[in-house]
Amino acid sequence: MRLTSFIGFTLLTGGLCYVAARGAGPLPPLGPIIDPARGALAMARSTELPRAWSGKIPGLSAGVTVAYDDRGVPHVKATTVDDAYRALGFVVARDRLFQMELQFRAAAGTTSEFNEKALAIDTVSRRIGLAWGAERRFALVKKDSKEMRSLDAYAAGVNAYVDQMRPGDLPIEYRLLGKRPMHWEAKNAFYFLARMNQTLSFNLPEINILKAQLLVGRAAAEELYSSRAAIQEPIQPNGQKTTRFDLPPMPPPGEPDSSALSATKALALAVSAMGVTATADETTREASNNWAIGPKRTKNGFAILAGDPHLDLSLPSIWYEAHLTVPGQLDSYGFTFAGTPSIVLGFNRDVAWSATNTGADVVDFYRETVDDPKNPTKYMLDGAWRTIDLRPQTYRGPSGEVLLRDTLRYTHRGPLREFAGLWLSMRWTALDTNNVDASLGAFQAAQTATSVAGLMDAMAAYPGPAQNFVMADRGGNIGIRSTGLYPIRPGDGSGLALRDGATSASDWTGYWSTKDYPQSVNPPQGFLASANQQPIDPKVNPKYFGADWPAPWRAIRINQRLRADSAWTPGKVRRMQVDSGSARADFYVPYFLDAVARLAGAGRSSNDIARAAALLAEWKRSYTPGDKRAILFETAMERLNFLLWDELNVRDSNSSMRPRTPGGLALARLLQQPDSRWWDDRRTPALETRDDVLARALTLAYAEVVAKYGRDPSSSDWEWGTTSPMKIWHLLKLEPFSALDVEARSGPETIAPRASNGTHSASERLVVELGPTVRAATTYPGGQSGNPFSKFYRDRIGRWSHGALDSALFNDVPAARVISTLTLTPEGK
Amino acid sequence: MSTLIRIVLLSAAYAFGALAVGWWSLPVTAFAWGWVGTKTPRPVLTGAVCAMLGWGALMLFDATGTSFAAVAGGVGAVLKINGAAFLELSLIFPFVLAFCAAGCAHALVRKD
Repeated sequence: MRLTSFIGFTLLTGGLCYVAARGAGPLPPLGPIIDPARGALAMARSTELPRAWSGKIPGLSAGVTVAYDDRGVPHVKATTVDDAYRALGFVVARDRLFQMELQFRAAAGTTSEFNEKALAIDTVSRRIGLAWGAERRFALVKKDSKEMRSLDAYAAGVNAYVDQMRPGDLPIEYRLLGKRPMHWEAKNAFYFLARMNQTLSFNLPEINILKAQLLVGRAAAEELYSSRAAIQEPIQPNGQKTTRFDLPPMPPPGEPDSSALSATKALALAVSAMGVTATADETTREASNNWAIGPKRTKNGFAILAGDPHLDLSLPSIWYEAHLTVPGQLDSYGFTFAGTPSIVLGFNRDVAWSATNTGADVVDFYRETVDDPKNPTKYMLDGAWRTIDLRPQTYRGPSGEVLLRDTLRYTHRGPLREFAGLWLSMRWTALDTNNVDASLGAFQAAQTATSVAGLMDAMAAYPGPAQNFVMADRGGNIGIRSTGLYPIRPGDGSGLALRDGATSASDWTGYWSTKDYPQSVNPPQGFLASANQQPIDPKVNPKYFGADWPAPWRAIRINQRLRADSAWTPGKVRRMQVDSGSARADFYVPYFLDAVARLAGAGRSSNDIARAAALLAEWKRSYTPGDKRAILFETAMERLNFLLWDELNVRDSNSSMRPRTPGGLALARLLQQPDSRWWDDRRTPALETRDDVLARALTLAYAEVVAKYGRDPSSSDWEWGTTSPMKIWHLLKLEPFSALDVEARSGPETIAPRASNGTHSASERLVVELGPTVRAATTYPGGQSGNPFSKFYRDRIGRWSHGALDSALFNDVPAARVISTLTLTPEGK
Repeated sequence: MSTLIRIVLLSAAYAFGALAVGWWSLPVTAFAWGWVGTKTPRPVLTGAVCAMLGWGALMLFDATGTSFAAVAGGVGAVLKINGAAFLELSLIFPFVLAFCAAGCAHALVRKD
């Protein structure tokens, strides 16, 4: 009996201890979570900032004070710039420790050490060369440089916080994963910047052209994803007073051309393996807005700058708001990334700056000749074998177990890998080391610039991801420049070909000179704006810059509004950032309505078509949460794309060989050709025309909306905010820590954007008026704290969703608005 | 030693153990109690109840924090239970674990 009891109790104790230590099935390790002294509940005592607290950081030259205002923004006051970065590292770690580590691991390819299910993410990161590129670029930073000092200082601040954490301070994510935080290294910032390059600059327009060529021939394919945007509203002003619609006829779909079949298959596999979603339509793409208004067009006579970079939304947000002050040296306010020792987008006493993505083509693939197709160690270049750089890789799981072994290969161009029997190497500006990576240095220099000219100089060496930096200064100057490394390619300069790797004649020969970048300073129109459109009018400069440009709907709307007013105020600019009007809808809706009217005139209408058209005609073409017609239009656009682009379908609808649905520029051109063969739906015996397809799309959309949301179009079920909420996921996709039903003023390609099924939108908003006293307002969808239980975790979402910004306490932080004071002292004192 | 003092001291031992080294001090403490307290009335049950009391006291201290309900609710939601159930789990788990660990030791040393 005793033995039975002993065995029974021992087994139960062992089982419970196992669950407590390691978890079971979906259960995380319970011990570190329910432990009341060090577990999750202990977090309740340290969730919010204490009124006064202190910390020690090794290497501080003097004390640093950090005053947190009532929005959770830390105002750092230090006596040296390096001390300011030490303090920044400390405060960012306090609020965003898990995010910092996760972002680093995502680029380093080690997230599987948190959870083996993340292995696929890691293999992409490593194969694309993120870690390789980050290490190479970090190796070029001079040990005694300002940049290295800042990186070391920041790391010291992060690690000081980690070492001084109390049990209740450990972020919940570590508890759920059963992990402890890593120590931060100076190089980690480079990994994050590499990751941002992947997000923003890994564009491969050639893949869609090649795929479409297989289906409709090269001539049609090139026009579907053209390097010349058919609607011109460029970033560098071209002198036109309104949008120019160059809508030449689209060539009809041609005969399938399989001459590049093997290359296309290989490239498609390469792209797929690199995590690029080549089939996404234009409303799922990265985007952003910014603009600057010169003093002649503002009510107060001061320049105003506005910026709202659009990114995938997350909780916590990618951005962290901070204010760094070093008397006489630095007074910079704005948004930083967790892990980056600098304000990245923001302002100081004299200048402000923000950025949008250029979408330039900065990636090329090369078909290499290798010595052994099974296990190559050499590749051919100009008739001689060159050694391949081999790097064995080990991927580990949470317990250190080996999940996968792999060998990465590199040529002088970049990563080399086999796809569909071809060995392809890749060259990407993000991995190049021809220039020392100056992105961090550029941001740091921008913080102390005193004029637009100074900002231009500070940013000149910025390598990427290429950004349209808009700028304004207190002297009333405004400027914009599409800044980043742009390759000079041999031949016609196009980046749309798979090149022969066996000859160095295929290699890039350098980078564009800064003076050739699309840019403008103080143009006669009195404002500058960018919204990811083609930066320069090809009639002004036909040089290849990229292809498959998005239709410039947001740029059109922004410029229409900027042109229409000459008394701008910061308040008006703030409201414009959440303008839910749509140039895209203004363009397309009349085509739907006219098509239905023509069919009715020909006696080919029906009750449903007439009803759908009547509802669409009622629409004010605005995407407010309470709007009840936007859902009909958006569904009609989806149906239209489905019906129109049947020529691009492949047998397997999930196949990686289907090209991305062509964007608005191609559709806008086709709408001018009512009888183009593109309009015929090959899946039906009839010969359809434009009007047939438009009416059919609208009818199908009406039926779909009625089926989903009911027959009553005045019902709240049809409201845009209900049917299409914004979704802000927690970094680990934990639903309780996410905000998934955010009703916001935002729509596809409106200034206030909504993309990727509601997961992509304005990641922050900034408005700065550069008068004698700089006034600024900010917000972002989230909050300063990464702790889901903090009042600062999601406190800004409500105001963000309604387009409200909060005044930034840049000039003074009144004592009444200081909620916490942190005193940092040198370790050992 | 009176039962009350025994319960207070044992509960305190569980609490200090958790504060000093973490959750795994609980089965160790319970096992030790099952071994040394074998002559006391109902040692296994006492060990389990005291584990619950010791951890409960720490939870009461945690409850002085401003976001106690939010933490319980949030963590509970991740575990797909509500906040109250998470708090119950946080008390039941130490009870059961201590019961088993104390029972294990008691089975070894008892004389019957």
